[in-house]
Amino acid sequence: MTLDGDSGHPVSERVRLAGLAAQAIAATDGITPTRGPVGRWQTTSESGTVDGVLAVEDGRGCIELDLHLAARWPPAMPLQLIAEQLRGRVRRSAAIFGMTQRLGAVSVAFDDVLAEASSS
Amino acid sequence: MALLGARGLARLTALLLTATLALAGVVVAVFSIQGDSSTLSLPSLVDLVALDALHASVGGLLADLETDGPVAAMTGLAAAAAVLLGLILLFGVLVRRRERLVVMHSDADGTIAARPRALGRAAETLGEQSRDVLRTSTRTKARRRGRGGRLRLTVYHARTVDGTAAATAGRDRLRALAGSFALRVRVRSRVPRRGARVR
Repeated sequence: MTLDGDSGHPVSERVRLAGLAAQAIAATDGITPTRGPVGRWQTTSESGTVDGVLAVEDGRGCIELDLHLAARWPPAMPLQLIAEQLRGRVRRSAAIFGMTQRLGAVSVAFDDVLAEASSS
Repeated sequence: MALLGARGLARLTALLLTATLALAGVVVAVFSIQGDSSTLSLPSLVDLVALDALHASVGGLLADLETDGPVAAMTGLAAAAAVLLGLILLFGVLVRRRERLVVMHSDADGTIAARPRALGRAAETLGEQSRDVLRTSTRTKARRRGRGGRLRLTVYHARTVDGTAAATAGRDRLRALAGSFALRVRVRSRVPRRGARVR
């Protein structure tokens, strides 16, 4: 457990990793988190909710992250590259905060597209 | 598969029940037109469907139920079957089907995938980039296992536009999207029906 910087609440590693994933999503161009029709895709804790990130701890102590996104369409780069870039950011953040061993699979799902008005 | 069966049964039952209820309502309404014992009166309807005879037979059945015997055993079995049918219908109505994702890439580090509806919207946006296209519609399905899925794009165009060319242009625009998600693409062209709205 660590303390959340904003609220001072104790934060589990699961919630901390969800927060890092949310920061990685915010830093990646062309995507926004989506929490689903009834808020299924979010991580909730005393310090608040993290939209678009489902953090689940498996039986072996690893925390799996499911990132649910809406992508701007057409995208500036292929969706697979965006997803790989995002996963790389999440893993680097986890390494910086010493949570590499705890981080399990990081899955990315594009649940919606935000179509831009075409000029052609 | 069981869920699909239960959903189908629930839909069929709902359709039959609502149709029966509507028909019964119409019959009662028609037989309420006249009063007393005229042809289109409720007493006449009771005579017509032999409710008195039904009341007598149900009364006999209820009397048989009170004593041990084959009728009571059969009725007990029928009641158990009705409860089971009710549970199946509840399962079909309440359990939501999980939408499969179209998988782009999957390994031990995780999966990269997209929801079929999102891919459909992306394909529609690409298809509508052509000036010749009035609107598009899509149908996308993910494969049960492994990567990829199927995408069907329908391109609606004006009568003056060559349908084959419109379909080919639509297919070309989808090439990158289809390649990255391993989608089997089928594009067809249509002229909108007369009077159909164009977005």
